[in-house]
Amino acid sequence: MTRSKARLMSQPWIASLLRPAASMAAAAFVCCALAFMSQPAAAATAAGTLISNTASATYTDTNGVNYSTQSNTVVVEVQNAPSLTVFTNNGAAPGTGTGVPNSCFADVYTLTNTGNGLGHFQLPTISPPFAGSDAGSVTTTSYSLSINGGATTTGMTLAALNAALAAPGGLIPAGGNVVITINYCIGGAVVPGTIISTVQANIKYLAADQPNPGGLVDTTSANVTNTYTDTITGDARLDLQKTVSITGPAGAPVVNYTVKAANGGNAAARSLTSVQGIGSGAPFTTPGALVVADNIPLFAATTLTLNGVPAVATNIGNGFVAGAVATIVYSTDPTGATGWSTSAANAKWIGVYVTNGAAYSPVVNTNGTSAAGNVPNPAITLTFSVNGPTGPGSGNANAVCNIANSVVGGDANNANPSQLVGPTIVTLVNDGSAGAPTQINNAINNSTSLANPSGASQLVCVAMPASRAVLNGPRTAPGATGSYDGVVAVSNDNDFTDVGFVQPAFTVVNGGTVPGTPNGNNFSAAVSGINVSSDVMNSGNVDDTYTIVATAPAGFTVQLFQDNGANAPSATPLGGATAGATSTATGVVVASGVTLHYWAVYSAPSGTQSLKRYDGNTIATSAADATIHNETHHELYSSFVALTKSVVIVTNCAGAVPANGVCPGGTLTYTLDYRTIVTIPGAGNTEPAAAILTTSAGSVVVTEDGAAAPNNWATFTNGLNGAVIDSNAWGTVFTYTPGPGPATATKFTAQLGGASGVLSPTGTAQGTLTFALTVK
Amino acid sequence: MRLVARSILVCLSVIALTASVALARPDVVLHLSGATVQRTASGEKLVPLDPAVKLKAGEIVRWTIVGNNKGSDPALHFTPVDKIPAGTAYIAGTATITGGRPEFSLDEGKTWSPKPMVVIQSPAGPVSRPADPSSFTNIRWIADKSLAPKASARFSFEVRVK
Repeated sequence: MTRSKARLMSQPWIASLLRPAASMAAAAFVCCALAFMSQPAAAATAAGTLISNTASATYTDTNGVNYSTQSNTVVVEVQNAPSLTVFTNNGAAPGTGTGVPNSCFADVYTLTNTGNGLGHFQLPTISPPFAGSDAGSVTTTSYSLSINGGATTTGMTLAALNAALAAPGGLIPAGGNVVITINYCIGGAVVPGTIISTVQANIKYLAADQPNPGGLVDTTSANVTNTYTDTITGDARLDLQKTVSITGPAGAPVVNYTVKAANGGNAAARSLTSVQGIGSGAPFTTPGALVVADNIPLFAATTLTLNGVPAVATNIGNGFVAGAVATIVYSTDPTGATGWSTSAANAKWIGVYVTNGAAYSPVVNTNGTSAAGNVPNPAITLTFSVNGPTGPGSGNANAVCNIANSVVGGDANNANPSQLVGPTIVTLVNDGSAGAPTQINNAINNSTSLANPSGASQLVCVAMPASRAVLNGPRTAPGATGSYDGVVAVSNDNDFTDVGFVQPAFTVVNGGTVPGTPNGNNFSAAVSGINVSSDVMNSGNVDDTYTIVATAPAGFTVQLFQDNGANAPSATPLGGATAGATSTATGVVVASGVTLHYWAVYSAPSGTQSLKRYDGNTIATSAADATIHNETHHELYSSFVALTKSVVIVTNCAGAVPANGVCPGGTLTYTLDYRTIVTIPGAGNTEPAAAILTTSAGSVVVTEDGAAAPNNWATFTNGLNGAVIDSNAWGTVFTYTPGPGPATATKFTAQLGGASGVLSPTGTAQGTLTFALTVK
Repeated sequence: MRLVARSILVCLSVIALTASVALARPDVVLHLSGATVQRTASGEKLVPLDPAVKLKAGEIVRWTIVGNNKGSDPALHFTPVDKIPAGTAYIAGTATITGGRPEFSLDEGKTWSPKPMVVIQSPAGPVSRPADPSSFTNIRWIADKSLAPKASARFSFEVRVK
């Protein structure tokens, strides 16, 4: 107001006129000016705001002169005042949600900064843990976060959530908010009840974060808590119980299965249209069904064959819906995904298909008496048998395992189509969804016992009757039969492995004169490292542990060793065996059907006679059953090719000649018998060739030197009269000295054997070299 | 000469009188003070504002205006005025009524009314209703009487820190 206007206004008569009018005008102005304006929302005064106040006054004097005056100014600052609200879907009241077993919940909490500054929300407490009667059924939890209406980040861990809130981007202005969602899922085996989630939050104002930080201090609000109470309503839950028994003899066992099914849930189990996709023709043309599927057990990767005719029984009193039909179906598809029919030929799956004439119609009502794996009052009972296996490992525990699975329609609050309820279907799957067939296939292929959410039986495993057996024999042929001395009967206990040994640099001399009855000289030193490899095979159907005892020939020692993998003994004794006249390996584990190589390492004492067979042996005995054992023999030959020379005076002079004397001009014929002393394995033996000690072609070289003492015929005869004759036409190569021909030669060598044969007890076991000399 | 002297005397008298009249005027000095109000079961406690102490949201501040006429003449139409400080909201019914009638403004002092009204839109049409006191922007008092020399007058109102 200008000074002149003030003076005018100060005139009493003018003032008396103007004041009421002004008031009226002001009222009218306010009325019009604020028409349609809403009341301003109360906003918190920002932290750090300086509240300043200065009063003023006007007055006049008696002359009507106007005056104005001002007061002092008072200034005060507004402190940090953090506060917040935590709202649910019911505002400030606790939130609510509903779901069924095997569903997921999203509890949305809106945290609003209702204070007067910028701050970060903090979460002293956030679920999990959850409360409520079904709190234990929560299977997965994650968090989602949206800051001030921004994009929502999902799948966050609690650590990530807290980090995001504390990050610079999580600085929330007054009036701003964050939306935190607790996402969790529950399992399928959940009874009706509640799950309560909780968020306890506060907001922290840092002075440094405020626009006017001077004088402010860091302040944290009190905690504010809110909750959600989520209600879980009932759903179907098909419980399966599977039992198994064994009948029949050990050699032809029969495995009998019983699968019992009942609805132990809180709502009817319904038929599903997507089940139809697994088969063709009747009964797969009906509008919907549930399925109980059982993968016929395999053994050694081969599906066992059905024995007899499977059967299904239903019981209305236990929940089977009147009018529904249960049919046994089979699939030849190893995955069970397709190929279902009512033909049992080449069946790899067996199942029960239950229809009730309409999609999503109840097929098994709840009877409330069952639990997963325990069905005392079955609505459906499937029985079938398979021919049990007899092969290696069939006697082991868990040799044949099997599990049954089922897929039904869940009630899902009468949703149509129903949700799939079956093992491994851990999130809600609508029967009408494109993924339903895949989910069904995954469910019936479940291999986890009593898998969530429902519909899986326990895993039943069974062992066939144990049949223990062991074979102990030559390497690569533990089941060989033979006669180690050629006398005893050919049998699996008399099989053997030959091995030769000789003292190094020792000349074996046969002192015997009768061919086939050698009399060797004695070794002058001990001989060690006489290695014999054998195999022990678990030929029973159950894993076993053996004790192997090696017995050395008299005077010898023996120790059992493991095989080194390169066809030689390792340095590690077998089963703790030590050296001695006997060596015992214990705790030798051999799985059913598996063969173990091992070695018996013998040492011969000094003085051992050459050209002789020494018999050692090993016996493998089942630790579980002492009547289960097998023996094999180790035939140790202190050289095995014996030479026996004899002479005949073919022509002589007519005069008096001493006995065994020969006159000049007389003719002598020498016969050199060569033969192997290795025992013939016996008629009908199955000894492997490697177990029989033989020579190789040309490896036996007989040298006859008429000048080498004690021979002297080179001196007293005219040398060979002609070629040396080998009784075996097997490719012997002769060399004469002096040559090139045999005539007058005083020395020859004969390489016995060749392409046509070698010296072997099972082939050419003997022969002679014959040569003639004429006495000078 | 006498006439001249008389004239001079008259002039001097007029001058003296004029001077006397000119010195006889009101001189009102205003003093503003604030105090937080803490109401408990046992009564009311006023804590003068201290620049070292920060206000908190929700706190109540009582502002007191004291006008002291130090002049020799009464101050007529004495009208103390104050602005509702930013960041605070007037609390209905707290303006004192002793010594003056309070009026309020919704528009920074352009218009005044003892009871400001607003018109809101309702389903039935525009409806006039009293304005929310928290929306008042200014307050003043129309004094009941002049403020006599050496006299003082006290006015107060309360606000709440938003």
